[in-house]
Amino acid sequence: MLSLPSVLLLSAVLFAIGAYGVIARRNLLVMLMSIELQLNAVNLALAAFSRHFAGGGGAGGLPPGPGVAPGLADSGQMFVLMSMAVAACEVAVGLALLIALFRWKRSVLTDDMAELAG
Amino acid sequence: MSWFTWTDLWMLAPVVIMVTGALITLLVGAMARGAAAGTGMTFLGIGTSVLAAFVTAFAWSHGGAAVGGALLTGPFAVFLGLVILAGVALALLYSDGYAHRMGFDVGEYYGLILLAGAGMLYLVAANDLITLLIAFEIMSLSVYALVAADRRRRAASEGAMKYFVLGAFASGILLYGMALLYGATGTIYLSDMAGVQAAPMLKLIGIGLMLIGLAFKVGAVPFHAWVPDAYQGAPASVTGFMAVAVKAAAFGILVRVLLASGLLGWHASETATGASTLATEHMLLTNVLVVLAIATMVVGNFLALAQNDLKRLLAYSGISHTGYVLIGLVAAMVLPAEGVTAVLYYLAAYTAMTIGAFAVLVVLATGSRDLGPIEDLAGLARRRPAVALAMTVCLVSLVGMPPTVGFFGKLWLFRAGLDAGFPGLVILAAVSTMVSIYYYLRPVLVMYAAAPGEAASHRPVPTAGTVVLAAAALATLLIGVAGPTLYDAARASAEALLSLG
Repeated sequence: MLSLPSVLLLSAVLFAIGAYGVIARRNLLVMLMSIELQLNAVNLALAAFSRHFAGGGGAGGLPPGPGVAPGLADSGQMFVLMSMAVAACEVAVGLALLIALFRWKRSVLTDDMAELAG
Repeated sequence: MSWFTWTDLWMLAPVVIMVTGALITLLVGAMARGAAAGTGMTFLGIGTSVLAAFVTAFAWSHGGAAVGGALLTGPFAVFLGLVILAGVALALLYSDGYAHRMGFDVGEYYGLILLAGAGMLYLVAANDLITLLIAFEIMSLSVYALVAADRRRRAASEGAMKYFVLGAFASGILLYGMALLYGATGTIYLSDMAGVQAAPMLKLIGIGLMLIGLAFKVGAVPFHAWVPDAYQGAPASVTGFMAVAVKAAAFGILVRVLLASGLLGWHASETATGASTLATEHMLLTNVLVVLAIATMVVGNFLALAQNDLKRLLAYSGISHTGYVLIGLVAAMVLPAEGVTAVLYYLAAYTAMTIGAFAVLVVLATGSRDLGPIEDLAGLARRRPAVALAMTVCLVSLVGMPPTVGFFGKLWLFRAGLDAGFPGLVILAAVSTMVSIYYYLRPVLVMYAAAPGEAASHRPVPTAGTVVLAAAALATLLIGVAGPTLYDAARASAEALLSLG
């Protein structure tokens, strides 16, 4: 079985690759993909923590938060689901903006986005 | 055990009202077009925000956790919620006519403003990380789309794309910080985190990453690269809205996150166990905030000097004001009540004066084009003396001259900074304020001294925009001198927030 630190390391490496992609690449589509990679790296970390807190077993190894029913204590996994939904929305808006921009510029390269500067 | 009650629904009511209003607006917008429909939607939207404001004031003022701990209501959330809703209502009002003239899809435009408002309202009351994430994204995604509302100008699309890429990158960092914070504390509830010091290093990294993510949103240097482009690319009405409301919401949650670190107002004498680790962490976090504040003030004010486009000038001015607010957060690390009070007061003051300045740009937009360079204001004092006067009031307040509300806002921030023991920071802030006089008074000079250009239009000024302008200018002039009401409200909100933690 994988240990928590090794999963967290993998997550950190994936996040760093994603961050590198956003900073270094010039193609907006690749930048969007890199952002997705970052979000998925976070999901991996969340799932790993959740599993860790649950003692490697099923749900509910944690003391529940204020006013939370015991069944809801496994919040890390819920977090992952919500974060996936948010990532999907983000891609939808990002691609819509990209299409709007592409209609003007006929390009997805950041080098061509120099109208606003100073 | 019942985990969802009528009380929970009542606590969620402000957000539900805003979302419902947004959906109705979208629906109406899909069926009706034209100027009359736009006016109808303006008033529908304003009605929604006013209703949401009343419900916020009633439902949230008692305080306490709701919806299974997802929300933590109380005077703090009410104060910022009302500031945000005021920003939403004023932005809706001055958009009447403007949105139609500029050729926006009005239903979507008004709907997105309301939806962004719902996200912000949700954000300032968020107490668990999941709610925080969702509220943050509702706000952010709506604002990205709003920046691109003007589809006939390529600068709008470009500004929106730059904002989106950096914003999504920042969201990723914020989310990574949340994951580490969850891992370090074992809870997703911010209010439970302050006392947990099981993994202090991991917790501090988590807080730090969240700080970076939120610093992007408020436009703190060195995370400000998107601000000028997004502010200039967006239509003036949207720029005004995002300048005030996004900033208020993001600073609100930033205060909650700092509170969750358990380091806000921490003193060496208070705790015996693990005191040295905590002392190091406290010093580290404070220094990071000091560096952010200094960099933001200096870069914002000095780059503003070189700007000639009005929206871009106000963008850099917005960056510098983020720097001033950061002084309040620095002060809050030592004196939480004073620091948070100053932050809240300043956010309210900033809303009044900035909405006023952008209302001028909105009412003066000719045809389907926003004002560009400062020279577009030439001779305004002769053509429209009242508008020029209101603009002068707002700009003088942004400088921080008495007797405007901007002066009192800066006064509380600087005093909190001095009391907390950061005289150097406050002196630097005062110096950069003096620098800012130059670029704020340039438009005033152009308005009063220069002769009207050929481009000057003689179109009548829209009524709705004028109302916003008058309200903002009066608020800017009167709130400060009318008495200590706003300060007392901010103080009570700050103290309520701190006593809950």
